Amino acid sequence: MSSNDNDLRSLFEELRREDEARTPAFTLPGPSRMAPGSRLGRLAVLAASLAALAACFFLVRLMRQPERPPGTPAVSLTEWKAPTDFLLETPGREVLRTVPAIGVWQDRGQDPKRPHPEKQLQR
Amino acid sequence: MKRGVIPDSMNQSDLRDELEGLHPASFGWALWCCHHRWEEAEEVLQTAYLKVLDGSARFDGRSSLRTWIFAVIRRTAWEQHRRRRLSERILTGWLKHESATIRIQDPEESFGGSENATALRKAVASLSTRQREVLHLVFYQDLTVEEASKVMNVSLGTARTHFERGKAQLRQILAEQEVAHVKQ
Repeated sequence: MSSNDNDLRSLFEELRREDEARTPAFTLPGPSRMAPGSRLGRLAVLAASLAALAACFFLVRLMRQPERPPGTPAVSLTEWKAPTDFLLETPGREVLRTVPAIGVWQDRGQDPKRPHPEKQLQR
Repeated sequence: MKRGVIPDSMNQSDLRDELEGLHPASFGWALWCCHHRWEEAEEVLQTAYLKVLDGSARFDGRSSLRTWIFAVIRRTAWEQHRRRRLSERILTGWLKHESATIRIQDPEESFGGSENATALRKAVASLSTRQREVLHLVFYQDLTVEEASKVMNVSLGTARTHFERGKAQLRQILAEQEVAHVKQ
């Protein structure tokens, strides 16, 4: 810091004198804030709140689970069908499952009189 | 014992005496950290004292006690400011229609004091936070730039840069306001 800063220093000193005149008396935090257990108490409250929240969450989840009527056997995994299975049945999928026949028109929509390729196979 | 230097073994009553001795300077610093909001500064100072006395802020002896207390005050003010801003944002969201009618009074306006002091407060308020802090610590608190850098938790070079730029900017603003005793 150079001696040229005396102008700023004097301004700041003036400000400091004003602030010091208004400085409140020195007091330490009250006994309630100084209590050594206050932090522990806060942590305990926080832990209890978190535990209550977790308990509520599990209770709600438990209550929302669909109930099976009594006596109904549980469906085994191999028998179970997903409710969205129908989405896999795309149009024209039967073409991939059948063997094409010579001389048979595949587009059944165009010529309804022609025999169905699947029926042909059955024969 | 020299004020602001902590010995190896200091009991609670010694620490309280030290805090009391540094109280006017600490309050001045808290006031600046809180943009001259009086009540906020008092709250920050009480919280900082609590941190010092209950041991949640630990003195590692790398600087003087004064520098360390100033750093604790600065951090506390920053934490409190962040909390206040968050709660104000939430409240503003809830009371959106009412907030339009509320005008928050600028503490710089309401503080009062001599003409030069008011002009200086306004001029300093327009500087960046780092510039404001280093100028306050050096000119108001009589710390060296090195000590100020420790309080601000920045390198000495950074503190020097902010100090020089802050001085130049402050002089320019004060000259524009035609404050007495300021050299261009």
